[in-house]
Amino acid sequence: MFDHPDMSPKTEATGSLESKALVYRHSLSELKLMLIVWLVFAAWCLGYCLTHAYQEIDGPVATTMGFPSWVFWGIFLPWMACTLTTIGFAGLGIADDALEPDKDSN
Amino acid sequence: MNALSSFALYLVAVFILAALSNRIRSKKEFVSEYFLGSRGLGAWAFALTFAATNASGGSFIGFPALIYGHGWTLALWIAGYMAVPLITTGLIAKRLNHVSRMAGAVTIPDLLRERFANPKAGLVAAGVLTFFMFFYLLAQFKAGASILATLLSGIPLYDNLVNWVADWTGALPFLGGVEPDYLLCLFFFGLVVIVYTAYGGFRAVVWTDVLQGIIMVLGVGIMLVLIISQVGSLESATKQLAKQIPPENGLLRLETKDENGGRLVLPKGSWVLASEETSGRPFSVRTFERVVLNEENSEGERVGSVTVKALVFRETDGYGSLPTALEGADFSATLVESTPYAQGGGKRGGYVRAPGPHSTEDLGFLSMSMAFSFFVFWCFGGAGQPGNMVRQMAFRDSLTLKRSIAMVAVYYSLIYFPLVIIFCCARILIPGMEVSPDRVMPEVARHLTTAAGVPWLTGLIIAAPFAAVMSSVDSFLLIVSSGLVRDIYQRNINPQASEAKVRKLSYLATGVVGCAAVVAMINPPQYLQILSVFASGGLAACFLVPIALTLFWRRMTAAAAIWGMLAGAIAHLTLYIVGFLQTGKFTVYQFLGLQPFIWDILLSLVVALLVARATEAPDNKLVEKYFGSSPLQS
Repeated sequence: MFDHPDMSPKTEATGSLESKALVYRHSLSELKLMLIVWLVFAAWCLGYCLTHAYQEIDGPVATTMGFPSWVFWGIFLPWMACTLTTIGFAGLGIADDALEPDKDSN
Repeated sequence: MNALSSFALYLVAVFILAALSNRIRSKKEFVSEYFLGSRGLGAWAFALTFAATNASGGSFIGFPALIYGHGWTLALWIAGYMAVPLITTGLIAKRLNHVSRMAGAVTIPDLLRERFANPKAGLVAAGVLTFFMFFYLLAQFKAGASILATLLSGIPLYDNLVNWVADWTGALPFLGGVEPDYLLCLFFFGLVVIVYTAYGGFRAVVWTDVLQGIIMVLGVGIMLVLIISQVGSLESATKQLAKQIPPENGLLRLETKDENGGRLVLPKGSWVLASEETSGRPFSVRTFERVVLNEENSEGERVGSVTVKALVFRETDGYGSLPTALEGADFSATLVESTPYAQGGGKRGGYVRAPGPHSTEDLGFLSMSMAFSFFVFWCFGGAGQPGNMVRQMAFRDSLTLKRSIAMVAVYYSLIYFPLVIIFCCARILIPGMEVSPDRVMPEVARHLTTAAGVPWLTGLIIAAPFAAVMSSVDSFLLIVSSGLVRDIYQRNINPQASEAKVRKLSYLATGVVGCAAVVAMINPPQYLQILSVFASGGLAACFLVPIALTLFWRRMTAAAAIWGMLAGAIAHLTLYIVGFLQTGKFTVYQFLGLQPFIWDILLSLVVALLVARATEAPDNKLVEKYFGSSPLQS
């Protein structure tokens, strides 16, 4: 799974310039990793489906576990993998930063 | 338990949640609590309100109809949802929450105004947001009323009420031409949503979203189990689906055999055995419209022959058993003409491959460029919705965000992919639903529960689409009212307004906006669904890039945010105007076959970057406040 690029030190004190900068750096590196995850699954899903899903079917439809095979390998499997990756990323890839106390909104 | 008692229970629960929310709110500072729940959302609340707000009526009415009509290609159309929990929920969430706390912002315009210390940025955002969001709100009110009318039809108490409304409004000039069932449901739906949203505020909206989110996932889970057991297996359903040849669209002439006979009524969706005019061969057809024979028309002439649109089944292989067709002793049915689908017509296999059959489009339902476009749009279009951003401003801490992303990932996996399975299998069990696509979901629910001997479950399942619409409408209603009260009145007209005055105005704004939407929707425009797509695309086009740069780029300026929003809006409007000029209809021009959203955000990005570079660098104090370091240090 993912190692967060800047997991420590975890921000604990809020309000200081250092803590603000650290939360910002964490957020930015998490954004970049999320975009990489998106690219990987977009490449898998679209790459597979655009080459397999649009073919004419001669004879009986090919199935895998009851799905048309292109759906299983190009959508169902990446969907499950993406869900597991998302859960793993949420657990390990997002720093547990302390956020600022709410400024008086009025 | 029937559908009506399910709704009664559901509505009671909604009002209890609103009352509890109101009690909590009375103990807290008004603005932050009413519009943002005091930034106290826990993991369950954040995850389910996020998921439920995103799953609008389209997820449970329009999406099932598309799956039913085009088959497995919809799995590719919706595939982007695999990454929605990560991108839409997480991409900018932590930073947005952090910056909004530092700014004390409770709305998106608030955030822009404080981040740049520039009232114009907030005002432009409020204007753009209110404009697009109101169109979105209108579409959801129409959807809510239509769904309610569909779900309650056939219940005696409801039918009596509809008749009473028809008698009462029939002679009135503004209301007389409106379908009485739609009118009744529009007022009822509007009343319920306006009251609980105005009374309970953001916290009530979130709590009801949680309830609605649970109803949705239960409904889908029950349907999945029932339909797989009734089709035998997924393998068997896919193989039968592969045998189906799309039905043809035809014209059916119905003639009475006895011109002096009594009035003859064939309801919409009647199955009729018709002879083809040229060959004499008999085919099962299903009517798209209600037919009345032996009745005088407005000119006083007796109508003995009518030609209507019908769905023609030339090949029935793979369709299971078609319902018994009427062979009229009182009428004759002749198939005058029929046209195969433009894509997939006359061929097997269309429902199990892309691009999917289509009655009029040669390229089918989903071209390759549109498959790519939707994978981008679902993720990043969702990340750019102000309704989602407001929720991202409201979660309690980082741990809540982490848990919520994981929960949304599981939740969406349990909703969207199973819906594709359910409604692909539904083609085998209930053929011919192309004549009323909006009824696919309730009809399938009724069929499944009745066949399984548990008809009392219908009420729970068909509450799901209603819950989906309600959970979207309440959120949008609050966003529009917060835009008026917080961003325009409190921020620009009367910054010294007392809490009591802001409270009264917030109730009033929520009520007035809701009532305006109800009145506007009494006679809804023709292209309402397109209007909904137009509004959601417009919101994402305006806000995604400017907000992301505002949060992550030190060099971003107020002018760049303003022009980024305007560029997104202008690009979006331009593509719709070009579409209108080309076709004469309210439709969008898809340059290079891509979703307009992609061009909108590209233009927004280019303009924002150029303007930021062309304008003076932001004040170091502001940069330090929000980034912890100045541009020179970075």
